[in-house]
Amino acid sequence: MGLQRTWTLHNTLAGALEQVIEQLEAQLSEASVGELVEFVDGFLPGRTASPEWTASLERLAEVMWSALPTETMEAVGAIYASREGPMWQPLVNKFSAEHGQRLLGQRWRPAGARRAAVVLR
Amino acid sequence: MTEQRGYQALREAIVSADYRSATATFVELLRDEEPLKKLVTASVDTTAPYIQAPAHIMSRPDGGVQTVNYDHTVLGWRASMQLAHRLGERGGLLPITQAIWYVPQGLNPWDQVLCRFPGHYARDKFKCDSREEERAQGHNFDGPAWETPQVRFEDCDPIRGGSSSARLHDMAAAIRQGDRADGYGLFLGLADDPEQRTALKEAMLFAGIIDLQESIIDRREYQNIGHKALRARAMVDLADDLGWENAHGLFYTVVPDMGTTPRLHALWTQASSVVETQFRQNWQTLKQDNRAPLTPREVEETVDVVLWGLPSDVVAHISQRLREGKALLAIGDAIVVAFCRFIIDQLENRAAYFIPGHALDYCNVVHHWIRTYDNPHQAKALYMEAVFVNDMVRADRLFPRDPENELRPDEHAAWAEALPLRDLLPTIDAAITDLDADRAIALVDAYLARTEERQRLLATIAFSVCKFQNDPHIQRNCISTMEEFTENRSGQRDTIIRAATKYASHATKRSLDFGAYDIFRTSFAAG
Repeated sequence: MGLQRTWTLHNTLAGALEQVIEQLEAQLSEASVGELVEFVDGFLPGRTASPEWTASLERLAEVMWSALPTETMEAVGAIYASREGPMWQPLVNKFSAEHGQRLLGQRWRPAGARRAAVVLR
Repeated sequence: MTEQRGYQALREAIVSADYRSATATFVELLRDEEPLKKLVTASVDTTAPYIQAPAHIMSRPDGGVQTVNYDHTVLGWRASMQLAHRLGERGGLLPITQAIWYVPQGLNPWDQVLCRFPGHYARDKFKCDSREEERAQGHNFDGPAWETPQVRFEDCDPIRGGSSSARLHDMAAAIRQGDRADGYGLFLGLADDPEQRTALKEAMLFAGIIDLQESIIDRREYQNIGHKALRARAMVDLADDLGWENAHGLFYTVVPDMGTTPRLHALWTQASSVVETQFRQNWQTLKQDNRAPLTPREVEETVDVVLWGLPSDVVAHISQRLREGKALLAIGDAIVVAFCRFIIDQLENRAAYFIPGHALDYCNVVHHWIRTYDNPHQAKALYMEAVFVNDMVRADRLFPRDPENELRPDEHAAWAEALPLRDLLPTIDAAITDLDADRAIALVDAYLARTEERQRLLATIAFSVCKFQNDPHIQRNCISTMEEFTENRSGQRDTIIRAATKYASHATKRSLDFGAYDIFRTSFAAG
């Protein structure tokens, strides 16, 4: 495969990935707080499909912080903060306002880019 | 103290799980110029009958099973004796002090599970002191013991007769099939013959290496995280160090345990099937035929697959590397780099280091086996170590990351770089002792950038972390790190030091008391 064809493939996949992200953001926006928490709970060790599924929670949290309104994220954070036991601490911290601000502050949007850079996994 | 009374007091303190008295007595005898090897031999002989477990899984009343830990006293002795050679005349006595401090706490792991004998498992893991019935009987699980420990496997007589090669074969088969008495008896018969020792050492390492779980994910009890291999390595090193003629207690400690339940050969079977299918009649000469090193880019590719692939990807990648003619140890070196990258870049929870640490020690045993002996099966062990490391990485991913656990050594980089070079090693020592990982990593990075010197740095890291007590894994990790650093040809040896620094300064310690270190300091370090 030549360089021109490979770069064309790269651009096509970038376009497809953008559409997936937009669809994901739309679905997250339509979900209730209860549905969001139920979905996040499915990443935990007892319910996860695989280690790779759990690891992808990092990326899901980033999308949630960038796509959802502050009050929704506060509601999600409050549910985890109310759960007792050390196993919930990573989620309490992941959905804390301070962590959200830090993540949003780290977003990198290069000049000329349609949207902020995306980490895939 | 007379020599005879001193040894008697040492034995009594050990079997009664009185670790403070045992350490004080051991140290006093050492200061009275009793030979270290004689003291270690006496300690190993004393514990040998009391460290056997009938199995490493125990049936629970509810029908489930409970893991029973492997003996770690012998692992502590082996690692400490090896470290003692590398930490200098006085510094080398710190790991030795830690080894004897641990020994009386590690007796009879089977009965510690049941709260029938004191030790660190009963005290710290099973919290036996919190049980009402135990308190009512006045049992103290910090020791001393209220009764003599149980003997869970009686010593055997040597089995002789027949050719050496037939007995070696039968011994390996007995261990594999779980016939502990025959495996041990055949070993004892062969050990009497100095001409068989090289073959015997090789056979024990082989037997240990092939007994490894294929995954720890969703297999809480049916795993051994490499302990059969680690015990075999401890035995062959210590037998050479203490002398085979003095090593009966050592053999009694290790050999029967090699055949205990569970015996886990599924991964070995998979590796055998893959190698023999992929390479047909050439698989037996892969070690001799494959000589090529890995290029820096190939090292990165192997690291990437081990860190991010599925087990099937890892198996396919190792086959690919072997087809490319890459040397076994070159592939192994890249696997160690992958493990170290995992420690440096991914592991964040202080409590999560313990099980993964065994993978480095297992890789070290495999590499020692390949470096020291020849066996056509050695290529298969590469699959096992690569899958083991990959499995540790994937098992860690089962737990969501906590942003609060993220380390920030970069915030201390300017401070570390401004320190004079002569101050770096003492400051590294202080940072590790304080478990200040951010500073320790920044300091080691500054040291690595400013000097080519590495041996004093490694010795400093090892000495510092050996201040922490109750845990022979610390000494074992140090010696595995030192050996792999010395032998690694990947071009990324400093990665091993950076991983060791994070492990030393960040992993949860079993105790933050410094009782053993204080004994070392007052007894040996003055002046």
